[in-house]
Amino acid sequence: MPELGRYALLLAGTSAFYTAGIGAWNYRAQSARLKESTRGAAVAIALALTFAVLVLEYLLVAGDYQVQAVYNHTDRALPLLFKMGALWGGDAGSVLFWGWILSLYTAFAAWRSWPREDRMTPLAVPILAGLLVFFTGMSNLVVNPFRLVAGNPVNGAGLDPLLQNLVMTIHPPAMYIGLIGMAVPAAYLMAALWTRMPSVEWVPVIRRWMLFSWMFLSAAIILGGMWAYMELGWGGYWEWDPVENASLMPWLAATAFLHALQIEERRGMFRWWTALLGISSFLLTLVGTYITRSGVLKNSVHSFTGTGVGPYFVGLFWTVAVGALIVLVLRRDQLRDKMALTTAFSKEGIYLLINMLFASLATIVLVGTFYPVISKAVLGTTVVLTVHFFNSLSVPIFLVLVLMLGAAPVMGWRAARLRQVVRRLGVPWAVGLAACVLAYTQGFRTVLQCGGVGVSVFAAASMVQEFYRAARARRRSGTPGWLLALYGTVNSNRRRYGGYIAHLAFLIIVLGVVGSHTNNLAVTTTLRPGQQIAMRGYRMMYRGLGTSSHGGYQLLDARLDVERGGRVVREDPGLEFFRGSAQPVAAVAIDGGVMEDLYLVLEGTPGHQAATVQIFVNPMVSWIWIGMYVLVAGTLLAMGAPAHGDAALVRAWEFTGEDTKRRGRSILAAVPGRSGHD
Amino acid sequence: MTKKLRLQMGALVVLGALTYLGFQGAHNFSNYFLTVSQYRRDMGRFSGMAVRVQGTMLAPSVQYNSATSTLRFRLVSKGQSLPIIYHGAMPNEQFKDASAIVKGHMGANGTFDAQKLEIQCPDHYAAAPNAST
Repeated sequence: MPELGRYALLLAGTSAFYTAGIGAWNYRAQSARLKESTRGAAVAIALALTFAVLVLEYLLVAGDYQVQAVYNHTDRALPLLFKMGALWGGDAGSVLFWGWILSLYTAFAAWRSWPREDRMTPLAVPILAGLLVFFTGMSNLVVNPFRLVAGNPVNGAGLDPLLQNLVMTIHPPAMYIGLIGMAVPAAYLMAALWTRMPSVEWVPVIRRWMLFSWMFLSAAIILGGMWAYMELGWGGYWEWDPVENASLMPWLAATAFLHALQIEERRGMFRWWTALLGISSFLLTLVGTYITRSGVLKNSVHSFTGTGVGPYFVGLFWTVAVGALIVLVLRRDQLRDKMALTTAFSKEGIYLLINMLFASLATIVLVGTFYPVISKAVLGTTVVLTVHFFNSLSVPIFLVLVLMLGAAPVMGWRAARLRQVVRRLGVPWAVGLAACVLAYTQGFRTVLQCGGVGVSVFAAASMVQEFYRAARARRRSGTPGWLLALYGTVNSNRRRYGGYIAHLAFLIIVLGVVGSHTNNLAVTTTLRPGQQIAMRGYRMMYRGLGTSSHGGYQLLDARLDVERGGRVVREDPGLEFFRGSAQPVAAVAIDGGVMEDLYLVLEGTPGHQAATVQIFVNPMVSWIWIGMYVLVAGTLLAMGAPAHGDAALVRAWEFTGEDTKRRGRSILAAVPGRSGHD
Repeated sequence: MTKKLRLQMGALVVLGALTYLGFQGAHNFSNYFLTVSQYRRDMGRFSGMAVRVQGTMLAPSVQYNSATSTLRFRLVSKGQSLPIIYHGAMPNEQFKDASAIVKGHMGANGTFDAQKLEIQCPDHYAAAPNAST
């Protein structure tokens, strides 16, 4: 069976070579037959890699421990779901998985997008196939998942107990789909510049691809936090660890890129910057991969020992970076700005600032993450930046971003009118101020806590106001009922209102982060059976210890009856003892609520049925998870806009002055069947 | 002054402010990161500072007093060892013979007083600990 997998990998590698080589050559030759042949070869890569993945999955589930990837990451006791998830749990399997996802993207582009974007896609596909040459090459030559182990083992070493968690089974695929997906808009960008496509053609295509990847990456980052919160037992979800930063950097660059695309579409400005952000989003995914695979950073709570593939990713990084730079330089005429910034007090001024701040955050995280390496090279001693470094720089930047986010919807393009902006933001400011006062009375006493709530609620009110204004306009034009008016509003411009919902989701997450750092409680106490403890409105009665057997591990848990507001629930924080591992893994008990979580960790058992329990009361953490669902919904709505009708409409008031009014009309006129007065 | 120049100057001011904040942050919120052997070698230089020291927790040396929530152990690297005292909860992870990072400073009695203890999780991409191929 492993032989079949190896043959599939060989076929995938050969097809990748063919697609990249013939596809690029045919860009000049323009042979119709070769064009179709390249298209078919792109699909063949995906089919071959799908087969290889299915073979490995079969081996994992069937338990063929002669195969190294199976032996290293599974054992007989492992539940089926985690056996399947072990595909991306190991080094060799994860490289195969990476290549497979990329091949699916490539095949989809070749199959579906080829007829639609018939100038860009025939060049974007060979570029993506070039990346697939790298990944299939890695799987064939460096980390072959079908390599056999010596001897004839009948059981495997098992999966790291910390990875045996449902969220951890979902998180990596979501992360891979997001990170690998960044390659597609980057490839399309290169193809668009090389073929000298006008931006009106490539912006919608690239935005959709980027939105899709961005959505998965956003969800994956939050799912990673959820896993840390549920599994690691320290009561938190984010600690600026290098592995977290590895995924945050491309997200920040991609978010800046999505906003830069807005300026490109409307005003054709800052085009070099936009192109650089598109490429950087993908390059930073390679940097993140390097961090997690090279062992270059020793200061992570993850002991990345270096799996040997790091240098290959460095090679890929520089190849892509130099290649992209050559394209940008050779096509610099395509990146000349169409218009100039009239005044910074305008929508494009706000977008530019948002861009700068996101890019600055990405730079801060990049430099901060690599600071130990930089300081070692420059100072001769390794210096690590603490969590306070990242917090002290990122928190003010995020607050300014939230402020901009609230102001942007009411700003006009080209030159906003101060009086108009102040008038339109009057209600949101009043709501934000009221929220700030209310938050202060609820214990949000520091400037950052109180100000964070005030600014976030201001921005949220500004977003909600946009929905209200548009629905009111529809009501006035005859739509019966507010719900119908709101539905009509959202449906008529899914991209705009999907974007607003995604912004609202971001604000919910910000409020969750601010709330979770306000009035939280952490207490460690040793309890004896029958002992009661009360705090923050919770009354806990400790009943004693219990043991139970589960697939692959023994559970020792402390049984507590928790009462709050007349509701009694049983919480069992425990310790899981896995086979072959003397020390336990925490089984955290969480009594989750919308406004706060009771978070219990069994720290130890000092004897005589006593239990040392760490008790946390974590406010508003669930807002972060809720924000993730809202964000996905908003992004899906935005992506659901009609394929060629998703150019954002410009409302008349967004342009001011005689000249811009004319331009506003011309843009509205260019969108058939649409009214810009929403 | 042209609009373009004004914009460029504005951007420079923002970037300059962020760079300044970055340098200040790096100065105020950083620790030296050393292995036990490096720390032992340059004790004179680092003895008064809060530093992070990395090494392996020596399994037989781990003693936990639940009454006082005190954890004592030795951290070792390259033949050098450092006695550590840590006040707090017992770590959850598989900590014996695990790689660990302590943050703190040297106490007067020659024992390193750790305010923070991080047990490094196993490498997700490496083989499970029992794998021996």
